[in-house]
Amino acid sequence: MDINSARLLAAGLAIGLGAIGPGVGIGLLVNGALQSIGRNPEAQGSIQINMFIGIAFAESVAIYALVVALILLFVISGK
Amino acid sequence: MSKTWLYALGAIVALVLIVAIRIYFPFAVAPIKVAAEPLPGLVIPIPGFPIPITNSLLTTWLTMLILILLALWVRSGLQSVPNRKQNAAEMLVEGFSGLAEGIAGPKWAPTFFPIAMTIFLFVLLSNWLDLLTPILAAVGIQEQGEIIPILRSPSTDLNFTVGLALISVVLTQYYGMRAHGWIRYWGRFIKIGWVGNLIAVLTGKRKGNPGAVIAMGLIDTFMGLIELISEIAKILSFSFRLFGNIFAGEVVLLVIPFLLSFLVPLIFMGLETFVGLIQAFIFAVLTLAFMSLAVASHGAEHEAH
Amino acid sequence: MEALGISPNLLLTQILNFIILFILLRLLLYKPILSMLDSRKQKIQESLEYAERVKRDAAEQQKEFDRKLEEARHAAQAAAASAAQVGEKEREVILAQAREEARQMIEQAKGQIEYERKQMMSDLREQVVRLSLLAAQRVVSQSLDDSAHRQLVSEFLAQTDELGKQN
Repeated sequence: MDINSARLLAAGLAIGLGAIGPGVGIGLLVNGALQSIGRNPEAQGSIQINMFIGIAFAESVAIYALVVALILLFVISGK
Repeated sequence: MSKTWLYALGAIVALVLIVAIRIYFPFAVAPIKVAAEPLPGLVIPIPGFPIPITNSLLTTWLTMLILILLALWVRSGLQSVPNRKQNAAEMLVEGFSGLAEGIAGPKWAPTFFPIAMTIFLFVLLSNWLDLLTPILAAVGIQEQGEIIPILRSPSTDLNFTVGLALISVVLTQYYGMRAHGWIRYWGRFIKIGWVGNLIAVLTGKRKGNPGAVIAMGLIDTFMGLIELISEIAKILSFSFRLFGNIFAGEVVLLVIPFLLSFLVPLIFMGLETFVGLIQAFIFAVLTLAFMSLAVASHGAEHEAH
Repeated sequence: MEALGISPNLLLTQILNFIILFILLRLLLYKPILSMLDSRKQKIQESLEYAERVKRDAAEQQKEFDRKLEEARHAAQAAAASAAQVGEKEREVILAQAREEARQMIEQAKGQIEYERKQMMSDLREQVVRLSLLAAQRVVSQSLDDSAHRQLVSEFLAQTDELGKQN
């Protein structure tokens, strides 16, 4: 395997594996938020804001993976 | 002919035009690059501190110009009985001010609100400029066989996002120190209060097991260090979250037209509009939340102990 | 860092950009709008208070008006009652006067009648005396002397008087 294909493979793996955890996490977050809204519809505003903040935290992990993938793809040049 | 049909006709004409343009003028697109490209020959010559004008820096200035012109436009017609544009501006400002008050409380909200609001507007506009990527990527200067786009959304430049993250985190520390005094504030991160306790135990002034005191103290210090690291990690997560989202959106907007040219990119544009709004909102709200944590909860925690 | 395109110069420039934008937007957008919102809030509060005051004043005036109306009604009622009372008194006075007059008139008339009756009685008595004297003169012209004659007549008259009294 030459370095270029290793780089491409690594990029795919990085974002693919890195997105699993945040995917599950965001699912759990939205699940909880929707249940709370269902139980207590008056608190919808604050629940939504907190949900978005939580989603941002969970998502940032995926974003780190994405950054790694992007660096692998565009920054490290496979010579 | 009814209005709906007129709109449908317009859409069809636009589609046909796009198809024709894509067929007859197959334009080249700039390669995707993480780093913003400096525009050739444009440098602000400050001795010892040369600033190369990159395409994203140029767009940052454009964004600022647009925002300031909008502000002037809104301000020009300010009156007691609002018209439509003033209503919109007031809704935005009042909504954000209410949000700041909800998160930071009435004491600190007036201080934090302008910072968060500026972050929101600045990031929002630069995120939405990202929607023009398919056009912007094609308009550029030919340099050594490569196109350098003239404009590029600031949010896809790490200088912009890291700069904002630095501002947010540094201001958070500043307000934390201003609220609690800098010794007390840094005591949150460097926890060595247990040493005095240990000395008291060793000299027999207080009863206790020295080993347990050392163990608990070390855990305390370690927790403080973790907090310090998480404080620094905020810079990374702030900047890379914004950069990653918008840069990925840009890549998607550039790649999708190669797969399916018609209508499908529109869906992704809608998605990117939403993502841009959410990211700007999150940047601003997280800044607010961290700032209010730094000024408030820390003190309450101490009182609770 | 280099490969990611981060350079200290550009970073500082971006931070400077943010600071400039922050200052300008604060000056041009937030402060005017927030002060406008504040002044409007104050104005609305003031007008609400004004409306409240006007409402209160109106209610007070209404109450005052009602009170005056009630007073006037009371006064009118009292006036009507006193007028009625006065009328009643007057009527009674008039009635009493009228009754008195009637009584006086009746009395007068009675007196008159009595007087006339007495007159008539005395007249009648005179006539009767004269007639009986005449008649007796004719009947007994020679058999009775004058003194016996007189006594007889007097007795007769006393009897007639008794009769008249019985009547």
